[in-house]
Amino acid sequence: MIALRQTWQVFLRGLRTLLRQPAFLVVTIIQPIVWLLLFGALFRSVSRIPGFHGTYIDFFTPGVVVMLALFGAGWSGMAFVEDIANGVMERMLTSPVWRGSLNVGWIAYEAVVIMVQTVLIVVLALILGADFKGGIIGVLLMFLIGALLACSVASFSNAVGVLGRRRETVIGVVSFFQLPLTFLSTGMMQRNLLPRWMQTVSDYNPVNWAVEGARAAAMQRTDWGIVGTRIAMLVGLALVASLVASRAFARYQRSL
Amino acid sequence: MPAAIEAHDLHKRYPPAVRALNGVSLTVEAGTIFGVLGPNGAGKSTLTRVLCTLTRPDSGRATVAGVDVLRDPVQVRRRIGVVGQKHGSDPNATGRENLVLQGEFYGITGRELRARVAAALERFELADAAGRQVRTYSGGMARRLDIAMGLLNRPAVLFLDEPTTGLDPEARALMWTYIARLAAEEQMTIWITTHYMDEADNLSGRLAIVDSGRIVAQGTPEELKREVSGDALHVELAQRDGGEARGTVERIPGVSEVEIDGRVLRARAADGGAVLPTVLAALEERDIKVASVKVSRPSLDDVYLRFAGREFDRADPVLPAGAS
Repeated sequence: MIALRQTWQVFLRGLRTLLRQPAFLVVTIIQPIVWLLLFGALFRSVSRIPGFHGTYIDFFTPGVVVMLALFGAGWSGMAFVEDIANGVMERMLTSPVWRGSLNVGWIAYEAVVIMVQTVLIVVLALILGADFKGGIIGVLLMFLIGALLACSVASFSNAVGVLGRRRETVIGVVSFFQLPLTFLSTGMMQRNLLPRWMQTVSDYNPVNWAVEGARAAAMQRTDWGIVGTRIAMLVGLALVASLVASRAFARYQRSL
Repeated sequence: MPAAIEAHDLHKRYPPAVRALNGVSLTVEAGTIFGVLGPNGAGKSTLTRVLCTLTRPDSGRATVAGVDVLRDPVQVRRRIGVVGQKHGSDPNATGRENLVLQGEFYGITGRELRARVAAALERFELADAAGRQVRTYSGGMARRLDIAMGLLNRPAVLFLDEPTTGLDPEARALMWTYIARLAAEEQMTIWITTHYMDEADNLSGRLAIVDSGRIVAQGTPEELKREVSGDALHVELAQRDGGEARGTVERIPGVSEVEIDGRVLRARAADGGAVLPTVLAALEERDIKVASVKVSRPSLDDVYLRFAGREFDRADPVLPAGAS
């Protein structure tokens, strides 16, 4: 009970920090809009490639949601770097606070941010004529999938933050993974148009699990087989990621 | 009354080669201010971190407020307040938000929390700034907030790790007032590390001098000064002297450790004031002109020199920054 309360307080702290930084807040809101419009326009002609089915906006909307989760939550670890540098971390560690709340509170915050961004994406996509064949349930499942991926990404990023303790390390590691994981998925390009080896790799890429799950949930008449397995895989990944984060945190504490 | 802090033979190494603690044992009585003095890298921060449950020692035992730091760190955390070397407050949050979050971490909630936060803001003269982000605070204000946060859970033992480093003289003096008042009003045990001699001298009831991971001396500031034999005589001669002055002074009973450095002659005497006329008369007899004379009570600088075997200002850090 008290652990839950402390997690909630850490979550509120994250939210407050976001609302206090107008520039960052504006970016958080504008970014999804720009991505959908910019990438949507850039790749429109993809839909004219023989073998592509449907409209590009229908195809691309789940991809943008997943990319936002990957790119937004990726920077979660920066907060840990800041807290360590400012002495905030040591102060928290000398208190009896439940250690898990420091990680879980931030992850929850990242998950909420991606859900708010997803709302913007969905509204904008509707304006651009997207057809959410999965209905409300399908769209809600897309929210869940985005949040799940954000949780995993944030956990890994937090682990890098406490182990690396430098902004440069977080930036380096996170940006090393972001673009390759994006392009090794079907977020921007239909699977049958990817080179064969990329199709194989994408089967093992969690970003692609999220893209396929979100697309199957929201943009098609919901395919429960795909949605169910993808959500299960993402839940598994989130558990592994939080284990990695708590191991990293324990290691950080031992190094003090 | 049981001891507030007890440490027995603490050792801590930071690989590969830094021995931060090299067998530290000490006892701090409840309700006292205990100063830990040493240059950067002497091991005083590592010692503080072990007692605050941030760091585990390689060997040895310690209890704080009656609880074993290794066996039950969570119970220790409930009983202590810690003000670290760096600011522990979130610069993006307001003073009040920082205090509230701190309280929540100790399980203090609701009306009780609001009352404690309001009282803390009042007491540390931060009530007007409570709604401002900490990034807009002056160094002294942020430090006061740190202490207010450290006290919010009403700890039995308060750890202050170099609380005035980086503060301007005015803010430093104010901080001393707060610390002295805390000790007087709350009968709290206060552990304070410092590398300022005057701070240790002013604030602490008892004092440990730490050097290279060991405690080299312990006692009240007065006791420690008494162990350094007597007052310091400082005689500046009108011109350089070929050794005659030194020989003259050395023959005077009650004067010891005579040294000459250019035109400056230094010596020690149990009672500096009493021996001074004799010294001056003896020098005058030899026609050695004196430019100025000074008698000083031994300072903690002298104590440090005596016990650590080197001058305080010249003590080299043995730890890299951050590991201290």
